[in-house]
Amino acid sequence: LDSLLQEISIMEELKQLLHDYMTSVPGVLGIILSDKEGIPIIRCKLDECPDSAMKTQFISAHCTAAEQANKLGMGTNETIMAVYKNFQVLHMNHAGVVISVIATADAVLNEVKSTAEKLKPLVQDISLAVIDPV
Amino acid sequence: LIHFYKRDMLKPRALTSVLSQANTDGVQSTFLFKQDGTLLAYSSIDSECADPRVVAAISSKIWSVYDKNGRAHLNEDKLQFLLLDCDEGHVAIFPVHNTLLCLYGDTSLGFGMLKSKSEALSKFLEDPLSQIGVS
Repeated sequence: LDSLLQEISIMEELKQLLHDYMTSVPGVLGIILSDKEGIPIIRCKLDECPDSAMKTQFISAHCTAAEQANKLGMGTNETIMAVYKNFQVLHMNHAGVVISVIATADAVLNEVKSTAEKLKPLVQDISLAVIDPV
Repeated sequence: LIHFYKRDMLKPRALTSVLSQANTDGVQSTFLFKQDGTLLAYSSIDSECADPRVVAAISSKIWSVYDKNGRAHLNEDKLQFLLLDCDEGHVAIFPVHNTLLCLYGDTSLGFGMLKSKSEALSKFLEDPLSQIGVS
């Protein structure tokens, strides 16, 4: 029970950390860390973020796109930035974990990308838990 | 009696020439293709450029995935453009009328420059492509 409570408090701390990153950049609505198949590891969002953008179906679409992008002849794809009329979505692949950032269309894309890049050290630690040991 | 109707058509050489104008300052290749991946024209200064038909097919697939995703999960939102950051280069995919424009270059090419060139080229091609009714 103690270790379970400890895990829960660590997760809460992680969520708070993601929340702090989110609120530091104007326009960022949600951050999701997931594995390569789109299964969420941790999610954090503001009320304005569409709920469906937090779902596995939305995140896993990136996996298909990234797989295809690897065949473009430009090496391995690291980041895909999709700009829509009302939202911007950034998917960054690092150490086997996908960082997804959802922002409004007004957010500065470079700042959104920087936010994802700042999460790389955190993701590096988390990746040890999700990477296939084989 | 056979009637020949005069129709506007694309001039392939002129189209290739227009696409080649984007191939400066880090941009290596420019492709124009239909949304189903059928290549219309391309221009490249890279002698080791990937097969343009493959690039067209893959880029259209990536566009289609994000386009459908936006409609399904972001309140019917419309995809404006895509930027891809790969180990060996940067890629931009922009819509032009009912076709897609793809520019790619090496890693020294900034995304701002890539986006600006793509926007300028897509604005230029919008009118001619709409006149011939590409679908």
